[in-house]
Formats: sequence, structure tokens, C-alpha cells
Amino acid sequence: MRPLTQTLIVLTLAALPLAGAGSVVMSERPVVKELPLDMAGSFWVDNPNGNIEIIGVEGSMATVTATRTIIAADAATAKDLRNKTSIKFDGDDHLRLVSTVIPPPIDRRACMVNYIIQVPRTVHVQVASKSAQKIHISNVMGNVTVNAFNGAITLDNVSGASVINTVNGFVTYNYASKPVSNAQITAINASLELHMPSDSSFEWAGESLRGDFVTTFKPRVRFTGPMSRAFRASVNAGGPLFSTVTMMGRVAMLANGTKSGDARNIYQQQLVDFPADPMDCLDCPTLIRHINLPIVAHDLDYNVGVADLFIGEVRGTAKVQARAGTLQLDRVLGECEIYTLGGPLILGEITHRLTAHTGAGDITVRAAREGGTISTEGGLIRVAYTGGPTRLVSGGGDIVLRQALGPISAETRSGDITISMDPSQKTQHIEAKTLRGNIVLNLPPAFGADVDATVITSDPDAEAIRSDFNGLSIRREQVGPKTRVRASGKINGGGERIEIFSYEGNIHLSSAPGR
Amino acid sequence: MSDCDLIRESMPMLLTESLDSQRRENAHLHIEQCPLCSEEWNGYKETWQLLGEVPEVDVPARVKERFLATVNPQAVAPPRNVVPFVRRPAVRWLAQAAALVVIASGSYFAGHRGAPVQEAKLPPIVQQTPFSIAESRVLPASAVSSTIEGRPDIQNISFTDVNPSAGQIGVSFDITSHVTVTGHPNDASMVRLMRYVLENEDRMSPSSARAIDWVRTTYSQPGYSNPEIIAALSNVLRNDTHEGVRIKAADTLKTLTPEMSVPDTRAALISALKSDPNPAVRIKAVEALLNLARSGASLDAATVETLRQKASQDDENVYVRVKAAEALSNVRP
Amino acid sequence: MKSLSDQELMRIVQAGDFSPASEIYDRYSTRIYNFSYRFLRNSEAAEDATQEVFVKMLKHASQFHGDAKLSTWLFSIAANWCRDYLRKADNKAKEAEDVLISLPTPVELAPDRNLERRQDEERVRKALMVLTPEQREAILLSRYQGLSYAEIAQISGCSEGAVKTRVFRAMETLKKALTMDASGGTRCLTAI
Repeated sequence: MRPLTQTLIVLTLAALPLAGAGSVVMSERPVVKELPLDMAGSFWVDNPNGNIEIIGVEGSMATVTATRTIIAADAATAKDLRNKTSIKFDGDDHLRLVSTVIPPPIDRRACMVNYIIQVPRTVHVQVASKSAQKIHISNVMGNVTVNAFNGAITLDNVSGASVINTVNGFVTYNYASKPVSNAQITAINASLELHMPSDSSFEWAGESLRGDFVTTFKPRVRFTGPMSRAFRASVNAGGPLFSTVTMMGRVAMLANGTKSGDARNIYQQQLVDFPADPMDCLDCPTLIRHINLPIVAHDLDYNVGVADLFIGEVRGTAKVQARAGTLQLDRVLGECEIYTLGGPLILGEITHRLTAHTGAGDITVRAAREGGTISTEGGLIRVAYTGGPTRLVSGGGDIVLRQALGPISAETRSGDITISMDPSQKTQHIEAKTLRGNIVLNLPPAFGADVDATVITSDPDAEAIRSDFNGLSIRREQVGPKTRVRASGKINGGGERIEIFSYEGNIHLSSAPGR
Repeated sequence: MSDCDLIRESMPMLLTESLDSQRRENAHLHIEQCPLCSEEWNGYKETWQLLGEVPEVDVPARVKERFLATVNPQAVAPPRNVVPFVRRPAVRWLAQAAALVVIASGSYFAGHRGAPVQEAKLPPIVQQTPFSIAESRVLPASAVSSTIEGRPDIQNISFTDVNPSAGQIGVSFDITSHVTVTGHPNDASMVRLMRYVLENEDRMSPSSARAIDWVRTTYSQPGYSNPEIIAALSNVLRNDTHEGVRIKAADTLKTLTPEMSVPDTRAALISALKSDPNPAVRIKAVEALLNLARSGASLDAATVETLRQKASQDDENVYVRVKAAEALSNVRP
Repeated sequence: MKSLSDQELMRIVQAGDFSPASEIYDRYSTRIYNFSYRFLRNSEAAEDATQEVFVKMLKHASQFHGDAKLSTWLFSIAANWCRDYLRKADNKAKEAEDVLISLPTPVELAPDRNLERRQDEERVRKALMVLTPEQREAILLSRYQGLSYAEIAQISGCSEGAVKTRVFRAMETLKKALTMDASGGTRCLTAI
């Protein structure tokens, strides 16, 4: 066992990208330690900040080379941190544990340790990391487990079973010979790439929100749900299971010797473009695709997964379906249908009937020239102009309609409703209902209607219904513990029906201009 | 559910004899035969008995006096602690005049709705003190202006004899006043007032929803961010029972400067993301956390773990999952 | 006035004559006040609640229908007021603040029995405050006001089933708090 070598102190000012201007970076000589380890044993490394390289070798000895770097504001702080942080070696011949100890409240980013570890190739390996640029494990026949947050994780010729759990970054598997063990990779944003011989036989289970699964193999695929991006596939004769789950990343299963550019998407069965170097995506700030279609000179029928979609102009009808993302259509010169499971809708000028729905999110419409149906299961609805019969429904959130030229039906589970009729309107059918909120109708002074307005409130003294128009009579009655206030009658001689209902709110029929 | 569970559930009704005779009979039969239920029943009876030990208390006489004064002020007999002015004819006119001064002076802080806003000018002999928005206050007559502006609405007037030997009287009243407070968004009083409005509207009304809209417009301008306002919005997000208001609160938090975000605000956003039943609130919460992550703010382990769970949660709205994943992609642990 | 029924008194009030106000107040104020006080454990708030209830009774007399019980209606108003009071953030944070002087102790009790009784009263008051507002409302109306579940459901704005559940849960909690060894009473309460 070599003794610990003398520490070399290097003072560097603002030189490394690790440190900010004016920081002190203290790098030590590497610490090298040899540890006997059974060939059937396990090796664990816990390193919050720093790279980890593990190489399987012959023999029954593990050799750890650790290089510690301290980043501090000044030399005294650096020394103090060096004394407080440590590299710890625990365990015995069956289980060796190496850990970087950074006791709180020290920021773990102040201490980085890079490990190069040689282990008997048959041992099981476990790695825990928070922040690493690179985790590389190669030539290991035992099982491998990696828990990380970001960084590039690469497994080269790991023939044992593997479990990788990470959030960001990139995961690569390289098999020189056919895989024989299962692999389970779970990530949020990381992209995955697996390379193996073309005659490999395996099962492949994949799941992703984005659904970017590409391969140069010829899998027999079974999708496990109509809208889900989950599938089970079999390649060649089947064999070990590769489970690849990444919410937002891409997954590529490539035969050795093929390129990602040759890969087909298993959903669309067509070639896809890959960035020239997948490593470019390591620090992608956003993993939602942005699709930009400035002009579509014909009818549009477009299905997209998870993406932010911007369409400038559709010179025809538009039918757009998406899983999630922000959908923006500036101008549609025909009927428009737009559905998404989640995300805001931003619509400009829709010259014909509009049907818009989102599973969650706000909807903003500049003009629905022929009206339509606009609904969200939760979110604000703002419509500047509607020129025809319009229905607005929200599962929770305000509804604001600034200028209406047609009959209106508006309903929200919780929120205010504000509807302003165009000054040219003499009468119109209006329904508005909120289960928790206020309703304001801005009507032209000469607007005629048969009004039926009801408020249910806990406050028997509440004014509840206010009208700038004459002709309404107000009744109050006790309904259990609540008070029902009802205003009904004809304004300006009567006309179409106005039916409004508010629970625990107020109603105001205003003759002042809205907006 | 077992028989014992059913019997146990009906024990309160046994105590109040609300069960029909058949069910009552069956219940008692079971209790007699079942040692566990018998013990439970004894516990119930003992508890019921103990509850009854709390005796009633008398209603203070002043409550009836106040009530009757509301009904018919003339018919109310003067309270025992008020010395009738008629006993002191010599100072009667003085006392009445003083009362008028106090009533009139109390209107100093009243405003008539629609009246033009005027700067409050105190007479030079009165020391200027900050105006306190309070549920009730006691003022010396010397601190009240003799000028009544507008037609303030004064009700529930009563006279009390504060200090008979010193000839001190008191006049109490409820007054409806309209107050306009002007100042800089970051004035402590302005911030405190906004916080009170945000946190103390328990019903969906113009005040709370419009207050949030106003707060968003004002306090998202550069230089106007205020941690107290953010804390108030966090409380609204956490506690308000109305989805529409919570959506607005979360949306406003999203737009306010990230560096003003304090642990309590993050906790409110995390809680909303985890468990708010309305997907729009969860969207706004995750977008607010995304903005935080993008700004480079450090997210604690609990926040990161919640985002991780949300990104992987099968039954969560896809957009929320995507945004959670996007927030994680901006995290530098 | 004393010989008239509640319905008859209310008919007079509905006709615009408030002379029965005092009689109605005398009939129900103690119950309303004690309900409010036990619910809120705040004497000032209970006084306000009591006054409000009777003022609203007069103001909204037209909403009272002769076929209903006046007590149910009055308790509805009181329960609403108390719930609104609790909903305000400041009031939630306030600890129950005072113990009112009870009616004079019966002279036949020995002094140590008197102390024990006072301790029991205090334990009960504390135990009631451990309940949720909904449970407390239900148990106060059931135990102290003798109202049926149907009446309580009307007052609380919920179903009879919900009232049954609230009363049951309240009793379970109170039983745990009150029937353990008296010497460990405080610990029992905090263990709930």
C-alpha cells in the first residue's frame, strides 16, 4: 500500500471554467490506493462531483486513483475545505466502497474528485454521481448500476446486467459482442444510444413522451397503447431485454457499422435527420422541438407529438393535433380544428369556424370570425373578437370576451366571466355560468333582452346583482344556509334571453363600454 | 365493513336516540354480547357524559343592549354604566356639544365615495401620526379634525361615560369610509396593504382577482419586486379555495423576478405542482419553476425530486410532464 | 308575547313590527351564544356572532318560511358567521383565548370536586378545539343543541350521511382525548 503522497498546492486565478473570476483552484497530486477485492465482490463509488472511469482488468486487486480539486474564494478557504473534505475508503475484500465526503454545509461543487478505478472484471459495480462530465465503465462482466444526474454515461463491453438512472446528459452503450444481459435505462431528458452487432437478438421496450425511437435493426413492434409512446419490440430471435425510458430524449438502437442517419423511426417507419454529432445535445437547453411552418398554401392536417408549433398562415382548412406544447396559428383562411392534450393555444385570425381544445393551458384568440367552440380543462380563455355563435368552456380560470357579434355561451368552474357585446348588437342570446366567480356583461345601452340572473351566496346581505338597466325585479329567498338572489325582467323592452348564474359571486349588467 | 364497525358507527345515534326501535334493539343486543363493542360503548357514554359537563354561560347584557339599540334606538334603556346627562343639567349642553365635535371629528378619516381626492391637511396644533387601517380604534378628540367632509355613513352610535369625575365622555360608532392610499409600490405601507387584500379575501370577489391582476402589472416592473408581495401570493396559491384565483396567483408568481423567489414560495409552487387538482394551476407552477431553473437559481433536492416525479408520472398532463423535464434540463446540481 | 309561538312572533316581524325582537332574543340568545362560543372559543367573536344572528333575523325576516323551525334558521346564520370568521387568516392563527366564567358553582359540591369539575370542563373545551371546524359544528349542534341529523345537514349545507360521518369522527377523537387517564390528559390531547 503506497503511502499518501505529498499534496501539491497549485494556485490558479480564474483559469479554469470550474471557477469564477477571482477564485482559487487547488489541485492535489493523485491519491493512489490498492485494495484487494474478490472476483465475485462488489465495488461502489459515491462521488457527487467529478468524473468516474472504471475499467475491468484481470486479477483480484482494485486500484483507485483519485485526483481532488478544491475551488474556493481564497487560499485560506481552500485549505479549510481541503481539511474538511476527504476521500474515504471503506469495506472489505467482498465489498469496497470509495466515497467523496463533503459534509454540509459545504457546497459540493467546491470539491471535485476525478476517479480512475481498475477493478477485477468480474465484480459488480455501483456508481452514484450528481454532477459529472463523464462516467465511463468498460470491460466489466458483473452487474453495473449507475445513478447520476447529468453527464455522458458510457458503458463499453459491459456484459453483465445494467441499470442506469439519470436525468440529463447522454447514455451510450457499446457492445463488441452480442449482448447477453438485460439493461434498464431510465432518464428524463437524456438521449440514449445503443450500439451492438447486427446479428444481436434482443427484446426492446421503449417509452417516451416525445416518441423518438429510431433504429437500424428491423424490429417487430407492438405498440402498447393508442396514444402512448410505449412499445415492445423483438429483434431477430429475441433475447435479453433492453428497457429504454426517456421522457424527452431520443433513443437510437444501432447495429454496429451503421450510422444514426440510416436509422428509421419505428413509429413513422421513415428515415429521420439526426444532428451531425449527437454529443451536441449534451447541454441542450430545451428538448422540445420547435416546428415552424410560415405558410401552408393548402389544407393542413398535421399530427405532432411533443413540440412547440408555430404556423404563420394556412390557406385552407387547418386540422392540428398535438400531444403537448405551445401551438400558435396566426392566420387560418378556412375552418380550424386544433386539439392538444396540454399546452397553451395562441390563435390569431380564424376566418371560419373554430374548434379549439387543450387539456390544460390558456387559450388566446384574436378573432374567430364565425365563432366556434373554445375549451380548456384548466386555464384562462381570452377572445378579442367573435363573429358568430360561440361556446367558451373552462375547467377553471377566467373567461374574457372583448367583442361579440353572436350568441354566446360561457361556462367556467371557477373564475370570472366578462363578456362585452359589440355596440352594433341590439339583442343576442347570452348564457354565462360560473361556479365560483363574478360575471360582468357589458351591453350597449339600447340592448334588449329578457334577463334571468341568479346568484347563490352565503352572504344574505350581498348586493349580488347590479344592473345599469331598468326593468329588472330582484327577489331573495333562503335556500338552506344559502341565499338565492334572482333578477329577472325585460331590459329595453325585451329580446333574446340572457341567462346568467353565479355561485358565490356577483353579477353586473353594465351599460358602460367594456374592454 | 364488519358488524362491529357498523355498530360502532351508529353509536353516536344510539346516544341521541336517533335510530328506529328495531335498529336500536339490534345494536344493544350486539353490544351486550360483544366485549369489544361493549367497551367502545362505555367509552362513548363516558365521553357523551363528559361533554355534558360543560355548562352554559350567560350572554353578556351588552349584547342584548346593542341588538335592541339596532332595532329601536329610542326604546333602549340607557346602560347602567352611562350616567344620564339629565343628572348634570349644568354641563348637559357642554357634553352634547363635545359629543357633536367627537362625531364630527370621527369623520375626518371618512371619505365620501366619488368625492375628489384631497390631500389630508391636519390643523397645525395636532401632531401628525400615521393613519392606521384598523378594525377599531380609540382616538382622543384632540387628534380628530373638526371638519366633516362629504356625507359619511355613521351607524351604531352609542355614548359612554369614560371618566365622570373629569367630565370625559366617549362616543362610539361604526363608520363606512372610502380610503385611497397613494405612494410608491415599494412603500412599506403599500406593500402591507396589498398583502392584506391578497390574503384576507375569503370569497371570490372583485377585490382578490383584480388585486392579483394589479399586483402582476405593478410588481413585475423592474425595481418593484417585493418579497412580501410574493409571500402573499404564495399564501393565496396555497390556501385559496377558488381555482380561478389560484390560477392567477400562480401565473403572477411566474412573471415576478426569479431572484425574489424565497424558499416559502418554492414550497408553495411545489405543493401546487404536486397536488393542485386543477391542471392549469399545475402548469403555471411548473412554468414558474422552469423560469427559476432557467435563471440559474439553485433548486433544492426536494424540488428536483418533485420535478423528476412529475416528469415520469404517467397520469399527469403531458404538458406538465414536458415542462417538468424541461426544468430539469436546466438544473445544474 | 311570551305565549305566542315562534311562527306567530315571526309573522309579526314580517309585517314590519319589530316588537317581538326582544322576546325572540330572550328565547334563543343563550343557545346561539353558547354555540358560537364553543365553536370559536372567543367571547368577543361569540358576542358579535350573536348580535349578527338576530340583526339578520330581522333584516331578512321575509326569507323565513313558517313551516321551518326558527331555531334551525338561526343556527344556520350563526354557523355561517362562525365559518366565515374562521376562514379569515388572522382568526385561524388565534389560539382560543379565554375561558368565560361559568354559571355559579352549585353550593353542594366540595371544593376538590369543584376543582375536578373545572379540570374536566377545561379538558372538554380543549378536546373540542382539536376537532376540525366541520366536526365541531356537527357535535355542538348534536350534543348541546339536540338537533337531528337532518336539521344539522340543513344548517351545515351537507348531506345527512356527511353529518353522521362528522359526528362519528368527532366522537372517536373526543373519546380518545377524554377517556384516557385523567392525569395524562394533556399528553393524550397532543398525541391525537
